[in-house]
Amino acid sequence: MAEGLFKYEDCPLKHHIRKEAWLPLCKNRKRLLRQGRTKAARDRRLHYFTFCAVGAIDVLMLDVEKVIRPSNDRFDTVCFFDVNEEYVNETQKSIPGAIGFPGDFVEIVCADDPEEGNLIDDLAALTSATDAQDTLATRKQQACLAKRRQFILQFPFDVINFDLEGFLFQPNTPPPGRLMRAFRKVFEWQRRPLRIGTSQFTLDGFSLMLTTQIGPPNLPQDYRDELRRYLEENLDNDAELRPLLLNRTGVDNPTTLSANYFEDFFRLSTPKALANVLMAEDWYVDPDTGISLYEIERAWEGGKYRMLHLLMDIKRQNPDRDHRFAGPPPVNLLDAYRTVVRAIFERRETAVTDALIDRPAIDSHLNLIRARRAKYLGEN
Amino acid sequence: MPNKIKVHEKALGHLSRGLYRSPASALRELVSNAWDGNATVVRINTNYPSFFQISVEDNGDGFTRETFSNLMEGGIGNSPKRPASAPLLNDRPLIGRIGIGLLGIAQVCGTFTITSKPKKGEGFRARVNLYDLLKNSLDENDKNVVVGEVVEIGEYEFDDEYDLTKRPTGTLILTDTVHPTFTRAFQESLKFEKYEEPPRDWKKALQILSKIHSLQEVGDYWRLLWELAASCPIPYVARNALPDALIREDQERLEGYKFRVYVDGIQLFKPVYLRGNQSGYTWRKISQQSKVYGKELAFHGYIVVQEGAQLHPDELRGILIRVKNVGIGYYDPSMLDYRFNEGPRAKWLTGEIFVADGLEDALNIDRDSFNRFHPEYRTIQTYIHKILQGEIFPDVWKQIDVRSEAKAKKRNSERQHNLKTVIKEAVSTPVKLRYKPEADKGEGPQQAETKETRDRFEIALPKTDTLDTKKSNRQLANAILAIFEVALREKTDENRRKKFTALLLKFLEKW
Repeated sequence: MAEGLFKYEDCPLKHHIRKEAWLPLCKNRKRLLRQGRTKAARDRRLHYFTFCAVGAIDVLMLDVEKVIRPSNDRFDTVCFFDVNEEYVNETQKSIPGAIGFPGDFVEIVCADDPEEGNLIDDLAALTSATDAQDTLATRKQQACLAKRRQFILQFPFDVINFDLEGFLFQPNTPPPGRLMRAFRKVFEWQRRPLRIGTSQFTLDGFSLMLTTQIGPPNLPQDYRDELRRYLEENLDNDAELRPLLLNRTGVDNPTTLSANYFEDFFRLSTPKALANVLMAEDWYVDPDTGISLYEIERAWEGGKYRMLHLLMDIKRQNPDRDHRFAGPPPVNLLDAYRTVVRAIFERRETAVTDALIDRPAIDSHLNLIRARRAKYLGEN
Repeated sequence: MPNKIKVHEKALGHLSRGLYRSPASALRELVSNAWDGNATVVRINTNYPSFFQISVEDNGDGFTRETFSNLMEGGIGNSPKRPASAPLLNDRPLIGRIGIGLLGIAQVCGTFTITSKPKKGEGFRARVNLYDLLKNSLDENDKNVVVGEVVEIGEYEFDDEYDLTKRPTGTLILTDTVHPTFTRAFQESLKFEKYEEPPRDWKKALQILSKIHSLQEVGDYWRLLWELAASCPIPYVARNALPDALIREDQERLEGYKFRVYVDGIQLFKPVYLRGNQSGYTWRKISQQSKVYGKELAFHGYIVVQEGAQLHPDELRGILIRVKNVGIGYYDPSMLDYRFNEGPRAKWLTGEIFVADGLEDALNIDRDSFNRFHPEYRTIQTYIHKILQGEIFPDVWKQIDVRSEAKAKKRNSERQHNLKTVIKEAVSTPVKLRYKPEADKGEGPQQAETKETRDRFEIALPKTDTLDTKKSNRQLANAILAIFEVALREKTDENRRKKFTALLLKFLEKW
């Protein structure tokens, strides 16, 4: 891999989160797979999606730790998206056989496709166009549709890792933002049956990891209002939350929190925004494990910024939407949501600092991963 | 005064879009560039299993921004060959010149990015955008494309913001949107009934290919791997990949070049591995040096015949000519237009001719085929045909006779054994079969006779070659005579008839 292509690959703080947070979450997911109802369900391999993937250090770590099992040294149960061809190219060198899609994740996921509900011929988008001329524009359009359809056919995944380097909320689009809209589509596609050969499986749950930069500090008011509403709703529905909020942030009013303590406001409201999108797509956050938060502080020439890592186990609503009457969410679901919300108010994020990490252990773990990459690159 | 004949640059414009017959041929040109650029590793990534992009990356010398500009602005087809004073790494022979091959990738995509960081000089990243519908524009003299006598086939733009310090030395060519037809064909090929995921160990991949008839069965992705493996200047899977150390010196030489090619993480080796054929192999080593019209022509190689067994896949059959170690086109199943019909034996033959000096002038512009009337090509052709006709195929025929004889002997012995077994079951005592001495002429046809002693049953049969019937029927005739004699031992006609029928049918079960 070209040196420095992904500059935080070697960051010990980031790797601490990979090793101490992502890895246990994925191991647990694998453990849950092994408890499947049928032998085929128990024996199947873990399906993993990562975006952005450049360098694929997370995949290599899961390979080293035997969570992901390649077949013939090919990562055929791993799928990833990356912003451009070069990054996809780099990643595939490290994890050969992984299914890599180059392009704008959001644009492709949110593209219109009238055939989406009835994907029979996944290659139809690549058939010679009859009316349009063979130009770059036509080809790009065909490729975009084909990528989208093939991406959909990869669903569902046991683990989804949205490892964003930038902001989850981009001020230039109306709320909930492009990424949240794309996530919603992804959670919708997570309901697809998993087909392996002639077997078909329905996912009861999956694990979700989301990394985002806290911010931007100039997040437009419409976003703040939207996020604040989640907090207010929570406070209205559970009288015990306000003292918890006060205790944690020093204020008990979401408006003040948004205006004066933006980072806390972001930490508290973003998980709920995500939890709500999940609920809308027939999933919910497992209240037993809740949402774990980890944070890293990074420096740049203009000051400092923080990266927030969210980790959670997701469960399918039961009965699922196809087997229940339309109407308000079931009570058990609301209870689960309340438990998760309360835990967010109660539990502080884990600040990952140099003092916290075991540097020799991190370095040695990274060395194992690098050696594995060298193996796939044919450098051994 | 005679008039000058000129070539319009439109010809080059056409060539820039239709030069290679397969993606592997286009990629092979980039691999050759990497070889000449002293690379030790070339990595081709096809974005398997999605095939939305292709990249070719090497760790060679790279080339400078200035060289690239010169190439793009009129240098294609006009680039000088590297000077002989700059020897290549590990005594590699120089393959060619950086030129139109650089645009070969245009056959699968219209836009690509090229990044090169040279060992010396200024590197660059440039985005190349080739015009759509170029052939139409050329035919219609589109003024945006045909500017005077110059043809503009596309545009390129340097990306000066790209930080080259992050990159290792070498060149990376990365496509943007691969043509949907390519993507579709390759994706479809992964759904073929006989498709198997290529293992990363190329030797295992060759085992898979040795079980199929043709690469068509496993599709375009395997074909790409196979064609690249066949054409690139890379070693064999092992020194003993061919019988009797036929390629030992070539393998040492190829290994000595230290040049590796990976496709999607699979390290490629030449796609030939002939071991373990039951009937063995017939082979000839070839080595020849001559002059043709004052030019040196030096070549060597081998021809191997896998006795009695077709080679798999079909694409391995025939003779592949390599110029400076690079395969030109495919294995030629016509054996360079060999004019004798050798029937199925032609399907047992494979060979490689390494041309060290000469033949380059006989190469067609696609570097994928030869001018078959070029005197240097003719010289090689004549030499090979002489060996095929005078040495290889006569040996193969001899081997066929030897094998046929052995096979017939074995078959006859099995049939004799079968006859004895059938009769032994009928008479319930050990059986001895023997041949009677030849009868005098005039005594008429010989008959079988039986003799029963206390501890065995003996049948005396006429010698097979004395029976007056077709050679292929004689053993059967003899057996019927023996069975008839055994049936005669029954007391009634009906029992004799029954016995004869039962024994004959029993005997014929294993005929």
